[in-house]
Amino acid sequence: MIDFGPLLSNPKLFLLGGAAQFGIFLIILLATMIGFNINDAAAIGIIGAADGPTSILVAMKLGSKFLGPITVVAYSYMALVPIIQPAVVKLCTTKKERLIKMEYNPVSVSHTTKVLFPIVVTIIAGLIAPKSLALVGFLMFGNLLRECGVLRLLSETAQNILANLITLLLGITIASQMKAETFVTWETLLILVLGLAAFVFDTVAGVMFAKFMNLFSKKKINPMIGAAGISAFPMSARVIQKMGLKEDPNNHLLMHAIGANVSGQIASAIVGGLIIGLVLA
Amino acid sequence: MNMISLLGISLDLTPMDKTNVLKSLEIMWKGVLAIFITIAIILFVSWGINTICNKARAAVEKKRAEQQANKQDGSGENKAE
Repeated sequence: MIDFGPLLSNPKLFLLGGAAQFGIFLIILLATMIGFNINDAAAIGIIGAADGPTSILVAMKLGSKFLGPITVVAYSYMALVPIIQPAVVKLCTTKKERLIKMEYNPVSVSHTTKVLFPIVVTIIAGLIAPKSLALVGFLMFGNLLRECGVLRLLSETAQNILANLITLLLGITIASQMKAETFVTWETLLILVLGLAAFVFDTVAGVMFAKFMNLFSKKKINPMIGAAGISAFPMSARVIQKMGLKEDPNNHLLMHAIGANVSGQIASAIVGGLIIGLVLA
Repeated sequence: MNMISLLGISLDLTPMDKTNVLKSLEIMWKGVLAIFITIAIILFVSWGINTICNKARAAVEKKRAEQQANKQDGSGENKAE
């Protein structure tokens, strides 16, 4: 149901979505060093994807006993993006970098491209990370409903009623997993800390990669855009837009941030599948 | 025996933990590599599709404009006659 237009009109933003997943892998490493087994560590790391369904699917597929805490932590930090990200972004960037203006000159994107894009992504992701098909496939199916232009009612239902119903059902189902003996433990507190670290490292990785891209590109990228490479859509992009406006009231970064944010959605779903595949290999 | 050194930090781990840490390092490099390869392929293919579609659309529009111009010329000549 997401519009991929801003991403397709500036495809290099795709790289920021990939870079902002680095925190996931770092937290998997940290969690194993703390003493979690590899399946639980991978399920904890994926909190950094900032994507509820991805976290739930990975935790379930890997048989993690921390499904309840992981879901609660993932959704909580997604809601806390406006508090977590500005602080981290400010720590990683200078005032001069935050003032970089980015002109929005979108390349025209044909309707055919918009229709073909979800199909192509599903095929490529399916070939490289077959386990990600459930996540990527449904993400792309929603987009295809929207872009094909002949399923308006289905698209509207999927965007509103169906999405709300699924969220409600998901919440109720996950709540049944949260018994006191498994939820009120020290591990839950550790997951809370590791989840926060995953979000922080993802944001840092995105910002740093944007700075890295600036070394090679003529048109400078505002490094704050990199922070929007996480999957919390559209919250993260809005946060970056607000931060940009705060620094300079004429600096509109929203469309660039949306592009990075959308790429983060795709990348996080692919990473979820990759992790399932690599852990179970 | 189960000492592991990461970025200069030496850790004393149980054999089980050591296996997990090594596995997580393997997941890290393979995962990062795979995500960038996937993204690069998607980026390249979607850019290619868009370029081809835009060029095809421009060619069709140009042809249409030429046909319309020819029609107008034709009708103009007829009127003059």
